[in-house]
Amino acid sequence: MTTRSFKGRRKHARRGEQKEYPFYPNFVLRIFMAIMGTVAVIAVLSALFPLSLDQIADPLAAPDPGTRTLWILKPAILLYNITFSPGITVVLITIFAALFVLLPLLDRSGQRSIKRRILVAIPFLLWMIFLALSLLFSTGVPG
Amino acid sequence: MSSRGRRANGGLLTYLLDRVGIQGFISRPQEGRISVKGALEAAFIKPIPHTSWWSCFGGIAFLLFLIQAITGLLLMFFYIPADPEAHRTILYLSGLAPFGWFFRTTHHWAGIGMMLALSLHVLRVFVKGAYQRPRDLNWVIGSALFFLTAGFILTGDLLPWTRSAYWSAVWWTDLVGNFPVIGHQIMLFLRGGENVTGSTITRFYVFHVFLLPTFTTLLMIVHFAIARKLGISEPL
Repeated sequence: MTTRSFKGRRKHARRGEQKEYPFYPNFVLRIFMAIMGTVAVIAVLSALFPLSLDQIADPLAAPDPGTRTLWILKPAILLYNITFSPGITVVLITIFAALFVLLPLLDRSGQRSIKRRILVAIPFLLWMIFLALSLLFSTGVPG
Repeated sequence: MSSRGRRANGGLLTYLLDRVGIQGFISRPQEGRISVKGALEAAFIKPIPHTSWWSCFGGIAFLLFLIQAITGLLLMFFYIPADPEAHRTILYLSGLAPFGWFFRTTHHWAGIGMMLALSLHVLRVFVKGAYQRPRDLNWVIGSALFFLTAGFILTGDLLPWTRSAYWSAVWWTDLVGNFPVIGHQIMLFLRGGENVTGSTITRFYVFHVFLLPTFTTLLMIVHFAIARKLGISEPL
């Protein structure tokens, strides 16, 4: 297999023979760049897209069909729109979460081939597609 | 000293610390005392493999967590977790407090960025198969951290007490309430009653600024200690 050596030259090395370098001074600049880049991206996003403030909540008013949904809820809303049952939706979400946490127990093969990794990555890709669809097509909070 | 005597003198604690590698992180066991200087020196000269940019998303997520902690602390100086003061204080913060809008927006974007960075970090671990032994425990802790981050977003969204946040909170707590057997009790615990009211804001505030950060920090320490002990996983 091919790995990239620290100075950018490609060199061949067997698995388990990764070259290691002291953190200081080899990785300090890279870490500094990552920190500054992240801070800069967040600062620019904050300056360009300031957060607006919606109207104050009124528990007595009826929900507006155009009410914005919290983005992290959108996959759950899409799942709800497919099943039409809050009970089934919450049980499915719990099962997905349990499968996610217990993944090391489900895949104990120890194989590290690319073919195996691709096979295991298929459920993850399906999840990403589902997430993308939910962000694109899901609308407001269901009534 | 006999093995029974060692156990009585903290043998179990020593074993656990050694299992996750914390002891080696904060002290030199052979010296028998805590040495900050020694720990810093060890951290700086520790040899690490040269990996790709994909390996930096865990660190970026931690950096964004720190940004959120700092901006969240600044927001806490103004915020009152009650109905209707919650909305008024955010209104004041967004319009009149110096740089209040900037800290609030940074807090918001850092939350989204943290979730994105965590997702990419999970993707890398997943594709590399680094969730298998001996890193299985770290996967479980990491996935708990992922759900805790989602908890930060869910609880933090209600705090401005806006119309959209209110209906989102009503919907997802109602969904939790539909979980078989214990769902209704969990919903009552989350809402502080049958409905989403001012007491729900107070509860979500306690979750958001105390319980979730405490658990997240503790799990992060263990997560980093294990990652430091086992090292970065090999490429495919």
